[in-house]
Amino acid sequence: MAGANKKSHSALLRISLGWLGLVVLAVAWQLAAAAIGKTIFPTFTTSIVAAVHLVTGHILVLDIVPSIERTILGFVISAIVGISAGLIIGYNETARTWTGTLFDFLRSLPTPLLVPIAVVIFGINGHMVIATIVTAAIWPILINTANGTSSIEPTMLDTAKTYGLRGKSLFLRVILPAASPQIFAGLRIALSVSLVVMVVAEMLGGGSGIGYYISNAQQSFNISGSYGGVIILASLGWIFDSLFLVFERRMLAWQRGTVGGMIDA
Amino acid sequence: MIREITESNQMEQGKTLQRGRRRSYGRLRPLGGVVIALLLWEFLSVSHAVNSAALPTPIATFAAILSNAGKLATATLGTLEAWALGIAVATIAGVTIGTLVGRSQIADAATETLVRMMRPLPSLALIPIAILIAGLGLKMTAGLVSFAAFWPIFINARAGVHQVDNRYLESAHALGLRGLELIRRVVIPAAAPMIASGIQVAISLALVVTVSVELVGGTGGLGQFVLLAQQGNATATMFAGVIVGGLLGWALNALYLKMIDRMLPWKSQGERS
Amino acid sequence: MLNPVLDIKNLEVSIRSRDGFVNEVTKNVTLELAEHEFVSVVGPSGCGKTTLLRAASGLRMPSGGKVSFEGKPITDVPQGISIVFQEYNKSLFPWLTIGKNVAMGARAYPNADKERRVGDALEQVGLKGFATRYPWELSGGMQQRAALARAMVSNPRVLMMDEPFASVDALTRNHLEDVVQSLWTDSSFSVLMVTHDVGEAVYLSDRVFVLSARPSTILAEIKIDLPRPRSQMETRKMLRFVDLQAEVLERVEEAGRNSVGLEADE
Repeated sequence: MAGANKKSHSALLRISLGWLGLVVLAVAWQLAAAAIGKTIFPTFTTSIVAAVHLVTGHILVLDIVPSIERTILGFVISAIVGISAGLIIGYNETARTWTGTLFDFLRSLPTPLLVPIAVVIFGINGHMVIATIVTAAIWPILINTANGTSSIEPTMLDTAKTYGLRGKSLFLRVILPAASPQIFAGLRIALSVSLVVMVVAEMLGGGSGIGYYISNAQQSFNISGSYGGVIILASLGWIFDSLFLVFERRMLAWQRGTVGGMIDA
Repeated sequence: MIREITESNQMEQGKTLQRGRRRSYGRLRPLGGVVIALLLWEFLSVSHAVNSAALPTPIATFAAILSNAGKLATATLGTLEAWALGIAVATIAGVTIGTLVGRSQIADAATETLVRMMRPLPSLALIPIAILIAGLGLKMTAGLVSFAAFWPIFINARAGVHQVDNRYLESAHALGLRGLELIRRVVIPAAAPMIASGIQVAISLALVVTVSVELVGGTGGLGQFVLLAQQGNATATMFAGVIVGGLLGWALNALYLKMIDRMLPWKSQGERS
Repeated sequence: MLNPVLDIKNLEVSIRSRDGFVNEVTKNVTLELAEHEFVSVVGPSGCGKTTLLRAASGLRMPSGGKVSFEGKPITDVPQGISIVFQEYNKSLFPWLTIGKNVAMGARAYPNADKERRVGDALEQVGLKGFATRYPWELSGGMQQRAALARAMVSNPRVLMMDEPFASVDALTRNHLEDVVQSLWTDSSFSVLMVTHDVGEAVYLSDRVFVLSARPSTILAEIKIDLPRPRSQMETRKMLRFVDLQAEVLERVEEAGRNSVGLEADE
């Protein structure tokens, strides 16, 4: 019991140190901006005020909520397609061989280049943003799922076969859980990729959204507005990542004792 | 390995040996998917399943690559320049700072939240701000690229250094290695596989950021090439730019992996981490 | 032999590597397993013992010969054959509790029955009260007992074991041997065990087969006429035990000498 107490104590210390790091950065920003005193470099407090303004004003519904929806939808579609395809490719060696070169090429394509094509196909709207997110976010999920699946212990598959697991139940009850640590690692990367792609797609032709807002604010010299937008994006990224970690920790609770310190703090 | 053998045995049960033929087919098999994708593409654009103005045929695209060869080469070089500058700065800064932070418990903890916020921060959101501060140009592009590419390298270097097995450190200590020499000869080599995979992520990310800046700011390179083609309604040319961009990304990644195989023969051990 | 439970006739397995090289693992192995019989297969490492077991259980199709279980040829792992693998850490599903792992073996039974069977199986191996734990919370020996419970819960006719105690320490191994022995004594199933531990084979078995080096054939069959019930303290001290162990060991050494230079890659 004392050990557990000590552990949570040091975890608390780690977390507060982590926030302290952020505070130091904010103070440094504040002082530097005040010393330089240029409009293109507003202080930390000005930017925070601008960010609060955005969240409490009409921009919330106009731009922030659509961005969140697009990101989540693009991520979910990528997850469904990526995990299904990854399971098949990971399990079936022939499929893996045949798709190898094609997938290597597709995943090294710098996605923002696809935005102009997506604009031609879908027009300037949210569908275009979602489609672009999927073309980027699907790869880390697919690759990680395939790697996780193909590296499952043969003994584990033998065991499953011994107990009569075949086809769908083999995939759902053994292969999917066995590959899940790697699938989650891929999902986490894909989540931040979704956010990145969402921003650039919106800047280039979202018609609305936080990326669109930031780029507009810059062009109309609403400087504190564009800084505020960036702060909101950073917070969104942090919130998404934190929620994801909570979800992951629940789903992979069984893993806690099998790997040392992989799930942090 | 054993499993692969097992599977292929089960599949090919009862067949007689056809060693030579099998081999030559085997080499072409990975390209099978590419051929199927090209046929599908051709079918989609010819059958008008997708808005045909938006989807040129593969042949038209390759023709566009050939007829724009000069411009494409200039654009590719422009993209490469900003990319290379950005990745060089990011690698040096990321490995150095990551190693220092990873060696210190306090620094490691103090950067935790910062990292968790910066990792998913779409550095592309900073494009407008970077334009405000530095204006359009190579310096701005390379600066933004190095900022974006810094994080995966820094994060992996920090984690890799932090996770170096104590047994290595203790044996090194017993052998009399201290300070910089300890870092150079034990810590960095032990963390190298993780640093290497951080750089691999950074390589693709840097290319994404480079073309994004080019698209948003119109600062030359492949991004601007594709954007101009779109504005001129030249879809085949637009596709040509995208294909070349894909080939560039693919080549950079392949070259890097080859280089890593040479430099870190012990990498496969820590690959899973 | 009259109506053997498991009948392996002229079994041949070849593994074909990816570059087309065919590697003969076993050749002409014939072995019968009678009702409630305990049979072990020993041999030099890399002689294809595991491959033999995989083919005998239906996990892998043989390239020649025939395996019949209760008179019917095997095409897949039949109900009635349970397998315990050497690597409990890879065969117990880490995302399931011990209870749910064992329940995997009782999939064929209705839900109401299942719970009772799982409880019984866990009690039999001395893991009562551990149903809600995860595998990593248990020691190696306990994990292997859980794997044993999972194999027993379906009430099999044949229990196959592949080096079942090779991954645990010597004391735990003795204990696990006795757990298996008492399970076997109290029930009517037959056991086919593959091991490289000659003492273990002699201690537990009715008959011991010695496999030759690759491509492996059966080199010798030794009948173990030690009285039952056997105990670690008493049986292992018997002169007869020591003689039998020496005899088996001699045949294994003989097989191993011929395999010098052969790669052990099983």
